[in-house]
Amino acid sequence: MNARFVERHGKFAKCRRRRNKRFPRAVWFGVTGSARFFRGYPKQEIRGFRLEHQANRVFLDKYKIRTPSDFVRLPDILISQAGFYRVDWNALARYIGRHLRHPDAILRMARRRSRILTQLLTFLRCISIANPERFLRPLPINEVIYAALREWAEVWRKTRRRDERR
Amino acid sequence: MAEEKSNKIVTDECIVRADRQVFTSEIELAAALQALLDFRTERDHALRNAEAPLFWTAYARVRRLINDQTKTKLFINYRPRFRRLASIRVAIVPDDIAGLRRPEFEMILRAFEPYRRVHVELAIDFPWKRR
Repeated sequence: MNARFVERHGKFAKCRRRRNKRFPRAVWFGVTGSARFFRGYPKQEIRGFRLEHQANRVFLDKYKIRTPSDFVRLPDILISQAGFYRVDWNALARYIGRHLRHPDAILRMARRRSRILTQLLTFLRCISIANPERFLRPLPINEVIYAALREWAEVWRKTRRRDERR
Repeated sequence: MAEEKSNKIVTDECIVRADRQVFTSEIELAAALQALLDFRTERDHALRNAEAPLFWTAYARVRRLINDQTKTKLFINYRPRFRRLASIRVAIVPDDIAGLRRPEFEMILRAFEPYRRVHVELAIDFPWKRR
């Protein structure tokens, strides 16, 4: 996992990738002041790559996350909104060939934008392909992340119960 | 040991942790500090805006507290410079490896009640594979 992988395969709700000249090895989706903000960066302390989801006040109000007990709902929200996907180029090529003029040129242009998934989706919407997410296929890493998130929520819930019993 | 396990979740490829939490409160700082017995003040200093003369930080002072056992840090911004700001803004920064533990988190929140959440962070870590 690195910034290039996140750019190429990551889709985080409606957040768009933000240019980041100060930290070239990091990747940002959304802005710090928006409802939600995703940032990924290599972190030496954990010897790995960290992906952070920052839920701001608008997000917290929308999903009614007010107390630590409400945190258990965060993973489910994240699972529904964030994930890593690959483009099904065969399905996309079939669709473009059937519905649009100059399919080869369009596919070439689309492939040129495939380095950043959100840019590719924007491009597809611009050439009037509705709901381009239908050409995305989830990567196996999603299951690992979702399982870890669900398990974290379960442990967070249990910690409270254990604390109450004392 | 059970509590150490509870604050982070480890799978083969990723680890989920509760990360930085920020909230505001209207409580008196001295009253809140009395409830935070596990924390000691590490530093208390003014924010001078030396690097950005045209920009005033929202709060004039910041107090840094640390819990020596869990290594959780608290950054308490106080003395607001603008009228509509809350009197205190608190950032909880847990240890990178351990993450934030729920009992400790709730203890901090209790000290600052009534509070209002500003943001909540959840971190998903992908450790580099050893070759």
